[in-house]
Amino acid sequence: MNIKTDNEVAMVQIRGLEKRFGKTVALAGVDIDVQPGRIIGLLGANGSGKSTLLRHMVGLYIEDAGQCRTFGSEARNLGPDQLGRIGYVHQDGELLDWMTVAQHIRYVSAYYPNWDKQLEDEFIKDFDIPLKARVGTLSPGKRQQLAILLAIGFGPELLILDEPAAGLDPIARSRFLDLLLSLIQDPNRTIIISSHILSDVEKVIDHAVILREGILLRDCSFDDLREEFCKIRLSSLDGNLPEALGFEAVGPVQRSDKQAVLTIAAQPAQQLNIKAAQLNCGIEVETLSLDEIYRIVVTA
Amino acid sequence: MSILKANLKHLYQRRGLWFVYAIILMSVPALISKIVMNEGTDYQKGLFVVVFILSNVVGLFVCSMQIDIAVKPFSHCLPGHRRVKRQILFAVAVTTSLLFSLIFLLYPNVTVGDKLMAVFAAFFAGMTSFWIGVLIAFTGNYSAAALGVYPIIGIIASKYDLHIALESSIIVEPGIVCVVGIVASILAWTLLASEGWFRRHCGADWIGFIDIWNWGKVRKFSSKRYGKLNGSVLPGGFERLCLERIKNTSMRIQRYFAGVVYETFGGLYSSKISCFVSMFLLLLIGSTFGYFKGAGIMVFLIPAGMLVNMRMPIHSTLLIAGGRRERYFSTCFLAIVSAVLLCVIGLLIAMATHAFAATQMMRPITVIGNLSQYSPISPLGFYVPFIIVPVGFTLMLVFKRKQIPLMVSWVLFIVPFAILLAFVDLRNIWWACAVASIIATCWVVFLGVLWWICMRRSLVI
Repeated sequence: MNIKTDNEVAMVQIRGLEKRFGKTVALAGVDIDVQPGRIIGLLGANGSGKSTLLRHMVGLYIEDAGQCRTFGSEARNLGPDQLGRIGYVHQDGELLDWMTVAQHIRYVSAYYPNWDKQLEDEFIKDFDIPLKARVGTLSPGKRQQLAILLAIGFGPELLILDEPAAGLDPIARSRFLDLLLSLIQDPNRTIIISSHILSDVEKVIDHAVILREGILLRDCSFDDLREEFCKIRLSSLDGNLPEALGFEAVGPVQRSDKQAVLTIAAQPAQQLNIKAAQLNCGIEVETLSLDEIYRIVVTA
Repeated sequence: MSILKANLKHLYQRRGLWFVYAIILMSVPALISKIVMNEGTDYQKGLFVVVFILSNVVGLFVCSMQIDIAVKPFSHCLPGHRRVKRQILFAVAVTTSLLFSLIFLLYPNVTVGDKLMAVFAAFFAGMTSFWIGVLIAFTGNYSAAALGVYPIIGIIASKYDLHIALESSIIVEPGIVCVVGIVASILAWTLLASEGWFRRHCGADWIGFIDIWNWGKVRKFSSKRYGKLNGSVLPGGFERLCLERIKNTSMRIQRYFAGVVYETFGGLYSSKISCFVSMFLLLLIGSTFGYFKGAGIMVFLIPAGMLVNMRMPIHSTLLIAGGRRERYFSTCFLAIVSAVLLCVIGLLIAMATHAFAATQMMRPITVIGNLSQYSPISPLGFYVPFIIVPVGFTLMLVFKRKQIPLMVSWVLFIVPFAILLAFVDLRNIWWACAVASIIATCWVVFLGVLWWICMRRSLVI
């Protein structure tokens, strides 16, 4: 049996990618493989290099060092065939303001023979997009919705969304997340989503990439990331909690005389129970939200 | 920082404005030398009035800068800001009018007393002119465009000797001129204190005096303007034609040519009103160049200068199925189409001047004492867009994010080039060869720079 390695099937393969803007290091030796069928959350603060990384993937940027290959080609050399498989919502997305929405959709769809008219109609209905309005008059939220439609309308294998939900209201965001979940039903499709709204992202992603100042901090499955840390609640069974709890906290600690809540690196349940018993405490273990995990990872 | 200091910062912080100051400052010694050189001749008549044009431009400029501030959210509503705008306008009005009026000390053949009276009247005439400039600044969203109409006003004034009449009234009827100036100033003081004048610009769409070089601002302005036009105004046939070609995947690179034509010229057509008004003004202004020997070439030069804000497909972040190679060829195609189109526009204006000359509509006029005959514009300047376009595109590529270097380099190129054009005669074989070589060089440089940026540089502005 011919077993493919990860590298052979990766849609995007990035090795030692470096990018500088003057004295600012935007990316410092990033290595990532993007496998098909995933929804990847690209997380990081402003200026952490998220957009720069995504722009390399579609060939808008040229690396200073390292390599970025998309669909097996150097990203900078991507041609119409490969780019016809990539949908991209740019952070400061450019749309043609003079066109009406209907014109804009007709214009972009003309480049893609596989444009999904049914999806387009459903999207327009669901998001209530005004077809006759000029693009220049749309609210930021509606512009973003149009940009998303233009990026998904041809059923791209790789969908790159750079801050797609930033301009959307809570209901539109919820619909958008549902849409992402429906899009990922195709096992060969990969979605990379960069966002600051972690509570939304964690509902859909199955893989997380965390960047800080151009340095890759995590590239792992979301489940692995969730299992990396946990929150424990220690309750004294008799008297006050001892001064030293014997757990190394990785985040903020809240404690009173009889109770303490700590965020720690995850350990086997048995080990936690033994430690709690030694302290004469009861222990409850909780999983962390993505927001909490993110804070721990980037501040570590 | 005081409100006054904060306001004044707008007048010196933007280096692009230094150009405006330089041009205004250079105009004064140029005018004085012209007056002195022509002393006692007919040419001197009406020359003194030029200072009022300068006053007017200064009024337009300073008020535009104040509107620039008013446009910014909250700036108008902050305490004391409204008062400062009016104070600055008056301070500049008084200072410039005072300085410019001193030029009347050079007025010939009058007594010292009359000279002093003339200076006094000129001060108020300058104030009046300044307030007219202020009024113009309030009339539109891009009032600096009004400067384009000034040559036409100049020609009309010359034709009917209005400048001489105005100059005489300052000498003969200084009292009336003073009264007009005082009334205009009182009116300005009262109106500028009222709520509406600056308030209606709060957060409004506005293009400042030199913002035509600011891509982001112009784009934002255009977006809002497009929004005021309902639905599509593009002929369905044009859209169908372009989209059919884009859909035809057997046409490889040509698909993208159709795309760039659709994006660029569809956009131009959709801003119908401004597009047609600009064309009309261009034709109007262009046809008046027949009165100025050697200026006919400007009809090929000016439209090409408008290229500076053209959106090039190379930097588009609207990702469609086209790579760097496609962006390269699309941009080349756009440059070629633009050059051809500008050449055609120039030739149309030249043809119009021939038609005007044939019908003898344009009678001779006297411009600053010179009798000027109307002569049709030679179509031999057709080559100008083929030089301007590659140079303009190259500068835009090199200084894609740098407004000031782009402006400086563009002016440094255009001015000597315009002077050089006066000497070019394509009927001479050597000149024809030289022009052909220059065109070839410009295109080679442009294509080289474009290739380098397309293949070696980041494409996000």
